[in-house]
Amino acid sequence: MDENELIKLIDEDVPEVGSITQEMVRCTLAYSNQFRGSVRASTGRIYTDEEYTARRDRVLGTPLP
Amino acid sequence: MNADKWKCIVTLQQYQKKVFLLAEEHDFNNFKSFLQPVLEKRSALDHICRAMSVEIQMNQSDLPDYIEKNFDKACGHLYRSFFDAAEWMGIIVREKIQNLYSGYDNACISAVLPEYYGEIRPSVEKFNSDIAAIRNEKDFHKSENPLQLVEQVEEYMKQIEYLLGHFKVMSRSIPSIEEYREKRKKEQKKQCISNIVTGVVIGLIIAAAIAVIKCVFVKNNAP
Repeated sequence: MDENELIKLIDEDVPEVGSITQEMVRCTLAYSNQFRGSVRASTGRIYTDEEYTARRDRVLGTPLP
Repeated sequence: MNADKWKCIVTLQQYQKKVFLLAEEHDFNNFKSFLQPVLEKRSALDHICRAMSVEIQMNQSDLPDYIEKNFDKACGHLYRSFFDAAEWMGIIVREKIQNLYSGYDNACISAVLPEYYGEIRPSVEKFNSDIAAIRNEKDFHKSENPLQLVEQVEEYMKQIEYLLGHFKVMSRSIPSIEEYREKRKKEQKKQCISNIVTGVVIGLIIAAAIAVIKCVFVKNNAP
């Protein structure tokens, strides 16, 4: 890839990841041997959007003692 | 970009990093991480690269404010990333307090930690609702002045540190709450026994009095 092509890419938006689903976690685990990022992410220890929202609603909906 | 603008980006990044690390450290829920703040940082990096590409004349733009605009967008993404992580942290602190004090009643808590109801609990409630309100604002990262973003982030970072500091105090108060509860249980038991004894004694006195009256009445009415 020459420099001009790289420059053209600079104004392209990075693709949206969208919702983090259980399927994404499953795929991450399946290819974790090729993963060189965070240990938590590579071992599938990430909140899916559904899990995070459920936890937030539960905790914020429970009154403090 | 001048040094002040870089300072904004670096400051926002450092505060975001701090709150994200704190949240990961304190979240014992299967040691899971929350990716949304990381995704925001990915977008911030993209805008920084765009601005820098023009700054170092690697790229050209027809827009006169191209650098400024991308810089502001980078700040906005870092700001959003901070508040995503701050919300996560707020949820963790709230859940920890719920678990810590769940077995104790209001009297025990307020006797041992009087500032809990007057100070700590309202600040947790305020923190949770403020963060939710900030995240719900659609254009919350489009502030005209990035320095305002930094000031706001600093303010909320202080609040997070304040809450964590108080959480430590609350954790240390558990033995005292337990002690108070045991003491109160003993006192209640004592009070209960005392009430029973008093009742029995009063009952006996009344019975004796009735018996005496009855005897006197029978004697007087005897033929």
